[in-house]
Amino acid sequence: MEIKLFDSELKVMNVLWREGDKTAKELSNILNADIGWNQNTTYTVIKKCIAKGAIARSEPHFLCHALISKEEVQAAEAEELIGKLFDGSANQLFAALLGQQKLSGEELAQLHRLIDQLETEDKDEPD
Amino acid sequence: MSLIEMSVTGSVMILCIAALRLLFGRWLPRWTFHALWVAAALRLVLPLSVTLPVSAQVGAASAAQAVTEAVQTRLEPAVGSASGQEAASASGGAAALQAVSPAQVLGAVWLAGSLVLAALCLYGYLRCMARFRASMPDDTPEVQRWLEEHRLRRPLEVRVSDQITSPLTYGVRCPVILLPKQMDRQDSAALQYVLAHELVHVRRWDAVTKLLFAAVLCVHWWNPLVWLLYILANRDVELSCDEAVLRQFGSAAGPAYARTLLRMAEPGSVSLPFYNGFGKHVMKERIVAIMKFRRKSIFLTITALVLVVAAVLFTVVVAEADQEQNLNQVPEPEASFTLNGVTYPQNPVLQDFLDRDWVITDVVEQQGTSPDGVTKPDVLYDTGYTLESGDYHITAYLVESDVKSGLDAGECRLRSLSVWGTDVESFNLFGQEMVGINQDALQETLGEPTERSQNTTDFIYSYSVPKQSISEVTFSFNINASEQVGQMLVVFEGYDS
Repeated sequence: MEIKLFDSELKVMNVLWREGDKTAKELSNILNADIGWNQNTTYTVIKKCIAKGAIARSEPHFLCHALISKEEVQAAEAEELIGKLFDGSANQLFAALLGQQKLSGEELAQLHRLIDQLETEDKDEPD
Repeated sequence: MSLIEMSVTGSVMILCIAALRLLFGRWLPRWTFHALWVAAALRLVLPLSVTLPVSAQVGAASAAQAVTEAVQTRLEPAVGSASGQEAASASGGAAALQAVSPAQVLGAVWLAGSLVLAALCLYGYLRCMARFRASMPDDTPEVQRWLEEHRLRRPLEVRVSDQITSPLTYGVRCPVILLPKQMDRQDSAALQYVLAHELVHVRRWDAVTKLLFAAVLCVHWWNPLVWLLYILANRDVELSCDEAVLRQFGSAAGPAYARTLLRMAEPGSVSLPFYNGFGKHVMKERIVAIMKFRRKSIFLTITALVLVVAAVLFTVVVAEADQEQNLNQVPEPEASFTLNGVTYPQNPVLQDFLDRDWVITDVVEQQGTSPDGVTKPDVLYDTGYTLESGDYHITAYLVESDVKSGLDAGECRLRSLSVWGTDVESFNLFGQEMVGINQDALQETLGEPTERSQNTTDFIYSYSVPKQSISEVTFSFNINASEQVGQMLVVFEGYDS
């Protein structure tokens, strides 16, 4: 089974693959020095990895162990996972209420044509 | 200033700004509307001291009270047989204690709505922030070079995330520009546009402004015009940002900039609450605005400045105008009055006296007839006390037969006010003529009494506040009425000093 991980999760996995098992605190220190994550951020990402079955947690000290190897991992496809992550219902509510629906392919094409049209109009007009 | 009042003036502003935007959006620089929306938002959340015309306020207040009292007459208090002050002490409970009023129900609904909306916002915000923070620093050389060239007093970072598809900015103290991973870093022009756009947001503290709009929405969620403000104001923040970018790069950059934006809005893009400038309605407005951007003339810029200044003044000046109106509209009985040579700024009602702490400032021996010429043969007024509480000033005479204990100079609290007499048409209280001392009039002023006499020809009104000390003194005031004599009994209790 292929597990899809975001870059943030891959970052954590890389540390484990490179350094072996580490406690969550150690991971947090390493990543803070490397990319400036605070402890909460690291812990959140670790928990995501655990939920995806990429890391196993053992006590004492919240020890993290990589359950999968580098080869088994694939970079995630953003749209598929993000929809679930942002809790569709709340988002739909806001989108509907505030008119923030995404542009469809057709609408995008229309806007591209609009730019072209306005651009040619502009060239014809003196400034 | 109440919420309703803030909402009304704010709504007026919203309508004006929306109209202005519709009619003159093409001609005025977009930062005009950005600033106007901020002024309207501040108007909605800052309780500057303003009063609406008194008649409206009084009407609303007395309507509310009338409803409350109608509810309360259903709940008759158990009537004791004792006279005024004793029964008053037994029954307890302040006059202000009332059943749950409609106003309170509405208030609870409003609060619930606000909390729900605030919780939703907070939830969405925190989830977004957690995602954003799990990002990597962007180490492409061009980005690093750009950062070098654009230093701020605050520490600015550019980071990259594979969990977003359009660029955004977050963080107030430590701003971060977050770029999507899938953005083409080789397209140098696009990168410059995007970074320039986000930098404008950072420089203008737009994160704070958007937070203000969200807060306004949480407080005024019940007002549909405020939703309009939220939608239009957020759009104008984006549009004025676009304008700033075009001012920087020149209007010839319009098409390239517009196309860059469109690429960021490809299908598959994520819509995030509060971080959006890429929803379909706003995108079209942005594209058109960008393509039609022209540097605005000095005249228009000055007009814009004037409008913004006018809006700021409006939020304060409206207050002044209303207060002017107030003084002219106030009906006569509520004018100021003079007592013992001191002029009081407003007409106190009986209730005012109940809630105050009084200090005895003078004690005088007095015998014989009571000061206002009406005698009650079986009562000797012998000790006169001068009491003060802030601007209020009373001279009260001790009714010998009602003395419980003496009071030296010190603090005391008005504990109850009893009025009895028959067919009393008006009376003087502390020099102020109170008109219509019938049951209804008193009730209107003081609310439901805690005790009513059994005698059908007399009525005693007692109002008590919880007894807080051990000593008390009774003061009696004579009520002047046509052919009738009544008495008003005022009980003060002393504090142990």
